[in-house]
Amino acid sequence: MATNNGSNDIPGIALGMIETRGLVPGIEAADAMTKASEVRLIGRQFVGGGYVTVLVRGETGAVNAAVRAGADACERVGDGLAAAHIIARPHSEVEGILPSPAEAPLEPVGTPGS
Amino acid sequence: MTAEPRWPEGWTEVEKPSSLYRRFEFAAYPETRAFLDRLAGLSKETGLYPDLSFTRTHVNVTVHGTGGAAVDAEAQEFAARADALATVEAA
Repeated sequence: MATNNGSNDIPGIALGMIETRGLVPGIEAADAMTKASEVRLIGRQFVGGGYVTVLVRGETGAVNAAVRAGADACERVGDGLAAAHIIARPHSEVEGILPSPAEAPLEPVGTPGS
Repeated sequence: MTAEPRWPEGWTEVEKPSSLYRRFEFAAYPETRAFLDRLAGLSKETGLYPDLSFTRTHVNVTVHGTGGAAVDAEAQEFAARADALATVEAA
């Protein structure tokens, strides 16, 4: 039977995302999130236009705490926080488009000529 | 005949996926942050974790039914209590 409760093979099912204006608040958010609670930083994406998104996975409560801490960190770095989002139970179909820690992109995504 | 709404005032029901959502507006980030903290406390107490989307001055809360099921009384109660947490700030 299909389930919509997310994948079972990932430790912690919740997904947390913070979009920042610029890389510095993005790194600051990633640092704060991983220090604040037991979450895994699964990647960061250069969205374009200077926007950066950092993504974490973990237990719902931990992701919630991590994203709040990350947002605070962005606030301390000028006007860094663009948006934050927490999905408590991503659908299993979403798993395929999420970066895994081993696949975290090293180069900007969608940058012409890169 | 007017049917009595099955969810707290200000919340919008979405059929697919079955959920309730509401946007809470705040004047500044510290107020937004305080609301998020209180909401996290409510989640810890009830075991119900909504999807959250926020910027500096607003929070979107999307409450799903327990275990991903349809919106139930538990979710409706969570929505009502979230309302109360937001009005604490306004008071």
